[in-house]
Formats: sequence, structure tokens, C-alpha cells
Amino acid sequence: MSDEFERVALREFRPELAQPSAEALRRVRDMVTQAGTVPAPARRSRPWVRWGAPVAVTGLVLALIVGTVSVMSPAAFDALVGALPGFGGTDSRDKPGRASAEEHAAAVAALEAMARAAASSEPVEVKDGQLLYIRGTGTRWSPPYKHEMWVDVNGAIPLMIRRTDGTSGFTVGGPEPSADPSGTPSPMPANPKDANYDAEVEQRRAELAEKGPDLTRPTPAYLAGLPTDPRDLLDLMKEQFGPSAGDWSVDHGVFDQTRNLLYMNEPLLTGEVRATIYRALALLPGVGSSGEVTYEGRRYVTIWFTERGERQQEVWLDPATGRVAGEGPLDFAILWHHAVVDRVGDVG
Amino acid sequence: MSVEMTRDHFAALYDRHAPGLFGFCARRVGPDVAEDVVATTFLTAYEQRHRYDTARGGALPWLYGIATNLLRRHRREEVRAYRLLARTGIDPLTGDAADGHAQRSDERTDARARARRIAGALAALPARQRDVLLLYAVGELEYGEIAEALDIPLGSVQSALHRARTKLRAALTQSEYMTRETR
Repeated sequence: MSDEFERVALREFRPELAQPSAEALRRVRDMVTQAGTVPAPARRSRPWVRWGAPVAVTGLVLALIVGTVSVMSPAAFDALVGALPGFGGTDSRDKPGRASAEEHAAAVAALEAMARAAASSEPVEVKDGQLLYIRGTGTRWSPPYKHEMWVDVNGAIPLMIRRTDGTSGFTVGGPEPSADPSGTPSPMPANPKDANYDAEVEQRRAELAEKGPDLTRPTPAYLAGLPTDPRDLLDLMKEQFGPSAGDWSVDHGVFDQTRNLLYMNEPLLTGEVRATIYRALALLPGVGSSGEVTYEGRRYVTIWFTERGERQQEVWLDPATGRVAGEGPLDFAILWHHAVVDRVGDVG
Repeated sequence: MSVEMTRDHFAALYDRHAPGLFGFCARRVGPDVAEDVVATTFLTAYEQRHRYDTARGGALPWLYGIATNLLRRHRREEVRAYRLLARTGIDPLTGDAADGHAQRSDERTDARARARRIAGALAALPARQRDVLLLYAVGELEYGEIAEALDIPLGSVQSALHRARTKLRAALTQSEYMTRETR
């Protein structure tokens, strides 16, 4: 099976819609090329646009500039306004998602319960030279999904990544497949796009040395020193995660990147910091919970973030320990496993 | 460097990219809405042409970024159509059974089953993963172009694409697709 097989399958999806009619192309061309007869507006600073107050004014200006809006549908005009910077409506990065009051209240209660359960937990000790082994497993997937990483905890730098989903996989970093410590040659070729992975690892280490640790390249000491006031921690998360949110809200970026932070570092957190992270997440209005799910005989508490009308991320917590245990949704669940190992390739 | 876009430039931009953009949008929301989206994309691009930086490379990510933003306005309809197709085998965007261009009866059966699985998987994907996957597979954008189009980090593109592709692969069960590949 080709590695491009999903791409091929999608290109064959709805093939009858792939080619527009010549009439439709011509119709739209006539419409949009009229815009080219108008001189370009001078580049200008438009801080007022960000705040979105004069939507109607801008719509009118655009109508005058373009001169073709009158032939567009109301939905298209609405979409046009929405596509301009600062006019995203509910989709704007300035308007984070909001869970329903009931679902948010459920999340706040669940996160507080998890914080209490996790508060007394101790971080694992990773000695010099040891690594954190992280495995994500989706047993309900067909074929089953497995993703493994061997991570240098100083900077959360993966030294080797191995993915297997039953039909294909890849390995980056670490020893050559023939030198697999298990003695079994890997059936999976290295991904050619990641051939320079060793250089990337060195680059990440150089960045850590130069810029110091942060939430995306933490060290155990950095994690242990995180704020233990939820609002202070949330401010730090917004400051560090916000810039990577793209055109999604900062809150979305915080939840998304916190999930990554937990996946990469969960066992290294002190109980106090883990509890503070949960309480910080509970401050996000877009965080909700739909209660518990049962997966392979075990119960998990769901915590998700909603934005743009959909649940964008979902993490699962173990109610017995308060530890993050995986991610949903149920149909595509991935359980997380962390262990301390001595060498790349060791499985804990 | 910004572009002083003349009418000829703009027409050339349209002629080069509109067909692909049409197809990309139509496969998601149908030809009628796609026509609105493509028109609005180019009108928006024209309005924002002073922001287009030739030093960044081609216009493709710029246009697909605007179009993807516009398509989000139709997300519910898009997902609803996927779900309907997955459930019934009838594609509401075409009104026909989703068997594409298949001629033989067994091929039509395969194509319909495959379309239903794809639609079900697309409906279940988080919006960002769906955007990334379709930009990659249907829009044929490279990773960097997708990052630019969606204004997200390259790592997020790779992560989202990896997850989306794996889910789609899981939906297209090995036996179903392998059978077709080896026929």
C-alpha cells in the first residue's frame, strides 16, 4: 500500500465535482476581474479594523471599491466580511470558544477533582543519560495505531520517533534499523523527509542552551518551578502559547499546547504543578466536559476545548489518579504510556 | 515586496488558480456555494493585494488560506453533507449515489462504499485536521504552504496531518482498499 494512499483516496472522492463548468469559471472571472480596474488603495494601518466596529462601513466601502458585490449572495457578502482581518465573528482569534454553562461547570468540577487527586503525586526521577519513553496506542483503530518516542527530558527533545499503524510506519532518529537493540531488523524504512533528524536534535539543544527552557522546551527543573497560582500559570501559558495559536484564539492555543506539554512531560510534573495546570485550564471558558467514557474496561474523565462550533481537542484523565491518560474522541482514542528507560529503543 | 496588481495580473492569477480552487471548494461544499466562495476569495484577495508579498513565494497558500477561512462559514453544511453521505450513500452535493465515475457494477459498489467511509472519516475529524488534510490531499499544498495558508506552525501542520491521515486510513479499512488496489 502506497504511503500516499489517503491522498489518492481523497482525490478520487467526489470526482464529478473536481472540475468546474466553463460557464461558472467565466461568470466568476467576469465578476472578479472588474476589481482590477480600480486603483489599489494605499497601504494603511487599520487598527480600527481589529475591533470590528465599523463592519457596515467597511462593507459599504468594499461595495464601492469592488462594484460587484451587488451580484453576490448575502451569504457570500457575509463571508467576504468574515474573511477580512479582524472580522472573524465567532471564528475570530479574538473571540475564543465557549462551552455551554453546563458542560463548562462539569469541566470545572472534574478538573478540581483531578487536581485534588493528583496533588500528592510525585514526579518520576530521570537520571543523567536516561530518557522518557512515551507511547500512544489506539487499539480500536483499524489497523491499530502506535506512536513511540524516546525523549531527552532536558528540552523535551525526541531523540527517536517510531510510528506503526499496521500498514506502514516510520522511524526517525536513533540507531539505524539494523542496529535495533531488540536485534530485530525494523520492517519500516526511515522517512526520507526526516533524514536530517540528528541535525534537528542538535538544533533544538542549541536553542535550549541559547534561549533557556520554556513551556515548549522545558527541563524538569523548569517544570518544578512553574507558578502554582492558576491565574499566574494561565498568564504564562497565554504569553508563551498564544503566538502559536495562528488564527485560532489564544485560549485554543493554550489548551492545544497544554495537551502537548502533558503528553511530552506528564510524569515529570510535581503534583502541585499538575494540579495548577488543571485549575488553569478550568479558567478557560471554552473548556467543557461530557462526563466519563469507558474504554477497554476503564473509566476516564473527558475534558475538551470547543471553538468554532466543534470540539477541537479532548484529553482523558484517570479519575483514580488524577493523571492524564490519553486523548479522545472515543472512536479514535489514544492511550498514553510513559516510562523512564536507559537507552533509545528500550521499551518501558 | 508588495504587488501593484493590475487587471491583467489579477486575471492571470484567476486563470491560473481558479480551476483548482473551484474543485477544492466544490468537493467540500458543492458547486453552488463554491462559486460564491471562489468569487469572494478573489475579491478578498484583490482587496488585500497590498498584503501579498512576492518574497513569500506563490499565491497559492494566500488564496487557499482565504478560501479556507470562507469555507468555515459553511462548516456545518459541509459536515452535515458528509454525515448524510456516510449514512445513506447518497451525496447531497450531487443528488446521486456516490459512485463517482465508476462504470462496472462492482466498481460502483466499491466506489460508493469508499466514498461513504471517506465522508464518515471527514465528518469525524476536528476542523483543523480536516482543513490540513484537504489542503494537502486535494489542494496539493506542501507542508510549508499549508502552514502559511492557515497561519499555524509547521509542526502543527505535520501533527494535524499525521493524525488526520491515520484516522482516514483507519476508516478505509485495509481489506476494502487493498482489495481495490490489487484488483
